[in-house]
Amino acid sequence: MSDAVADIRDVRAGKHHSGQDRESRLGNGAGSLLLSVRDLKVVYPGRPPVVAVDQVSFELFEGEVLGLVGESGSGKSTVAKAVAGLLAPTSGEIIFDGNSMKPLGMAKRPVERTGIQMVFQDPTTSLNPRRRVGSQISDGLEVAAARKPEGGNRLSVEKWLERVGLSASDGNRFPRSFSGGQRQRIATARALATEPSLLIADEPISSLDASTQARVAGIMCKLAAEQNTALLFISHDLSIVRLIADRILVMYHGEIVESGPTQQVWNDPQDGYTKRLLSSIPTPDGLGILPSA
Amino acid sequence: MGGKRRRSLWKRIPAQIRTPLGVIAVTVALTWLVVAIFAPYLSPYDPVSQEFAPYLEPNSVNFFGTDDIGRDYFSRVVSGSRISISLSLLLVFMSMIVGSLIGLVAGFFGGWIDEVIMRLTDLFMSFPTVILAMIVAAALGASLFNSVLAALVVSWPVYARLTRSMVLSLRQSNFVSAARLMGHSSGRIMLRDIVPNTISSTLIMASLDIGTATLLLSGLSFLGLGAKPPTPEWGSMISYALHSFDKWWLGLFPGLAIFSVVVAFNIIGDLLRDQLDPEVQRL
Repeated sequence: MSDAVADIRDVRAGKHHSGQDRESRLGNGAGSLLLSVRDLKVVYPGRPPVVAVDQVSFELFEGEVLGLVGESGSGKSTVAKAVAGLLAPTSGEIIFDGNSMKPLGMAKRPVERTGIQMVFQDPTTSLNPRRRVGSQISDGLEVAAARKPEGGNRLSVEKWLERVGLSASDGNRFPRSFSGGQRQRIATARALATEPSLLIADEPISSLDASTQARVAGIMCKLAAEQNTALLFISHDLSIVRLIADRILVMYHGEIVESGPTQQVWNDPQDGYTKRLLSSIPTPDGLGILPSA
Repeated sequence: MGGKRRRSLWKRIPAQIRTPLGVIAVTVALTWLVVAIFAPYLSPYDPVSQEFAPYLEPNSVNFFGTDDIGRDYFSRVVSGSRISISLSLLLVFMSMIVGSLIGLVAGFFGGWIDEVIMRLTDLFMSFPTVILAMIVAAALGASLFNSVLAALVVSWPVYARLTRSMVLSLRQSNFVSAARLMGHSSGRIMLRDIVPNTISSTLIMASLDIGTATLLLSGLSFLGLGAKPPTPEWGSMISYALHSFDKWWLGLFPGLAIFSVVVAFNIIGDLLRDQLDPEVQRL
C-alpha cells in the first residue's frame, strides 16, 4: 500500500507530467475548460418521484483530477452517468469540449464524442465475460485510432496490460481468471486506451480490499496524468480522494454542499456534512477509537 | 500420458453429466444420433419393401416382427429415427434461431417494439400447444415439412421469452455501457456483447426441448398431419398400429423409441440446466 500511496503522491507532485508543474495548470485558469455542468437535475420517476440530483453545477479543466465525494445515495453515480450520457437529465446542461452532450440512445455515439470514458463500480460486470481481455482493450485502441488518426504510434494491447501491472500474455485470458482489482485495472486500460479527454471513475475502488484500493487508484491517477486525461473520481472514501484529487466536490442529498481545493476542504471544511464525513475516517493509531460519526 | 489425457477430457464434461444418470442419458442420446446418421447401413432390410409375411411376431430374422403388409419392423424403426430425430433437431434449431432473434430485438430495443413483440408472444403462448400446431398443420396441408412449420409456430415463443429476459439484464451491464461510450453500434453490441452471453442458456433450453419436439412432431404424425405412408416415422407408425391393436409389437417399439429419445434429451437438458446455475454465479 505504501508504494501505491507514494506513487499517487508523485503524480500529485507532477512527476508524471513531463516536468510541467501540475498545480499551476489546474483549476486556476491555466488549463482550458473541458467540462461544464450547469444546473443539472435528475429525477427518477416513481411515486413519489425521487430527486437524485438537484441544481448541480461544476466545471472541470483539462488534466484536472476532480474528486466527487458523498455518502451512498447522495447522487454521485447519477451525476457520473448523466455526464457520460448514460442517462438523460431532467433539466440542465452538460457542455463537453465546447459541445452540448446528448444522452446516448440507440444510435451509436459519433466518434468525436467518445472523449468521455468511464470505469464502473462493479468489477464483475465491467468486462464482457465471454471475450478475452486483450480483445476488449483493443476496442479502446480502435476508438483512439478512429478519433485521433494523426496520433502516431500507439501502445499495443500488451503494453497497456503491462502499464496496469499485468503481464503481456494475460491478454489471452478471460475476465473470470482475474481478481476484482485486476479487472478494474483492465477496465482502466480499456478506457484509457481510447485516449479520452475525461475519464469518469464511478467508485472504481469501493468493492476492493484496502490494499488493492490504493493500487488501483494510484495506477488510474498515474496513467490519466501521463496522457493529460482529466479524471472525475467518485468515491465515498475521502482518505483516498484526498491523495488523488486537485479539487473536491462534496455531495449530500443530491446537492453540492461544499467545493474547493483538496487541502482547503481537508484542512478547513466549512459545511457540517463535510466535517462529519472527515471525522468518520478511521485513524490507524492503534488506540482502538472508533470514528465519531 | 494417454491416461492423463483421458482423465482431463472426462473432467471437461460438465460435472452433472458425469453422474450415472447423465452417462446413461448421453449414451442413449448418442446411440440414437448414430442410428439416425447410419440408418441406411443399420437397417437389415428395405423399410418400405414388402418381402415378409404379415404380422410376424419378433423373431431372429425380424427382430421387431413385421407389420400388416410384411415390412421388416426393425428396419422401419431404425429408418424412422432418421426422420423423427433429424426433424426434431431441425425444429429445435429453427425455433432457437427465430425465437432468439425476436427476443433479442425485443429486449435490446425495448419500448413499443418490446411491447408489440411480447404481446404477440403472449398470444401464441396462450393457445394450447398441440391444438395450435394441429390447426396450423391442417391449414398448411399434411406433410412432414408443414408439420415442422406448424410446430415452429408454437415452439419459438419460449426462446423469445428466455432471450428477452437475458438481454434485458445484459443491456444494463457495465460492459455494454462501456461499449456504448466507445461508440459501438447497436448491431455490434448485440453480436459481440449480448449474443455470446445468451448462447449457453439458449443451448441448454434447446437440449431440453429436443424431447418435446420429438413428442410434438410424432403427435402430429400420429394425428395424420405429418408423415404419410409408406414413410417410416415413429408417430405415424404408432397411429398405424392402432388398426391392429392386438399386435403388441407394432405400437411398442416405435413407442419405446420415442420414449427413450424424449427421456434421454430431457435428462440431459435438466442436468445441463442444473450445471448452469453455479456457472452463472461464477461469471
